[in-house]
Amino acid sequence: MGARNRSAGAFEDLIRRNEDDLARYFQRRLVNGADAGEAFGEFLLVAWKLRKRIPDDPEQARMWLFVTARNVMLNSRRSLARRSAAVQRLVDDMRAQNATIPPDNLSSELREALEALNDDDAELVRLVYWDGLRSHEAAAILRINPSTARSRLARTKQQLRALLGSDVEGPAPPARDVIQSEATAAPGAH
Amino acid sequence: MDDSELRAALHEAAPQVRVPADLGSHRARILAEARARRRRGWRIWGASAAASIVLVGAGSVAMAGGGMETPWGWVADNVFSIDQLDGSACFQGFLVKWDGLAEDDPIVREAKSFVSSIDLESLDTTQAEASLREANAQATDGDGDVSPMTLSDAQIKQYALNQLIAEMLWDDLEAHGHKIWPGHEVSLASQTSDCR
Repeated sequence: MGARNRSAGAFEDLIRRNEDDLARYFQRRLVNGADAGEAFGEFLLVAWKLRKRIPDDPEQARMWLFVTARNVMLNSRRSLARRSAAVQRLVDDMRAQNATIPPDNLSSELREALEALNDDDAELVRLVYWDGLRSHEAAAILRINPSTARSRLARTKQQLRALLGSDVEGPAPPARDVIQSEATAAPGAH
Repeated sequence: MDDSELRAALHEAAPQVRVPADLGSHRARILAEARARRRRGWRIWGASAAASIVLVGAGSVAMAGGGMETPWGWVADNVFSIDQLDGSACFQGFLVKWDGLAEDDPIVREAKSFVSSIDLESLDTTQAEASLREANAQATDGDGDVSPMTLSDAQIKQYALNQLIAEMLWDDLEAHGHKIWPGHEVSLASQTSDCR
């Protein structure tokens, strides 16, 4: 159960401890700096509005913040942020910091391969390998069982390996065949 | 590509990003603005409460009949009063209002039934009061300078009740699967006598 009367100070402490990771979460998924700034601002305002639902336990509270961040990502409306002058200042600042380092070839291929995956599978990979979360934490954010997350991660990596291998090593099997063989292998994967 | 190579490649594929150095300042500004917006809402509510002094007059609070009639001439869904040291009472009336709905709409009936069923005397507002005191102590003026707001214990209690009941009501409506949208909504109104 959430802390119904979480104080403003405790809320801001929680945000302070996690804000860098959460800002990166948006920056990694929204290439445009202004979009990432606006999403981060929306996230702050949504979290503030719902702060009484935040769990007391610090780890669960951190996961709650990531779930909220994911919900903001999934909702393209930024209704709170667009009414906020303070968010607009952040958007303007982050627009100016838009430059990103271009990825190497392998990274580009991997990002494209991730795009080709099922949304939830791709997000599981991003949470673990981009955001540095453990698989059970990613499972909590995606609201799936930890063992399901582990097996899905193993299966998804097989898919990625196959997709990359098809580019590097020549003739590729049809994607459907790859998925079928991995699904067969999945029950044993942990 | 073996598993460790793939893991390393996935790490490498993460977009290289740089968190703005002044992110903390932005966060503080965004949250301060959100708090200020909330306080403005309270002040609007407080202004209507102050106007009620004219209607009530010191020590004139009296409840008749079923006990839900207010000194302002309307029947409340729930009422609360705090006895003052001078023998007067701080009175607070709560009323569910609706827009775009019939009085017998399920959401209206649920909201009125829920608000009237709350035992306001036993409702624990300790944490809500503490949170309000903390927020008031950290209040800032238009320039962002700290400018604490001072309220009496009775006023804090009234604000806390107002906030808590509204939150409980929305939780109850949500738990019962009711949805609210513009033109199809219920709201909680509250009026209070002066409680300095």
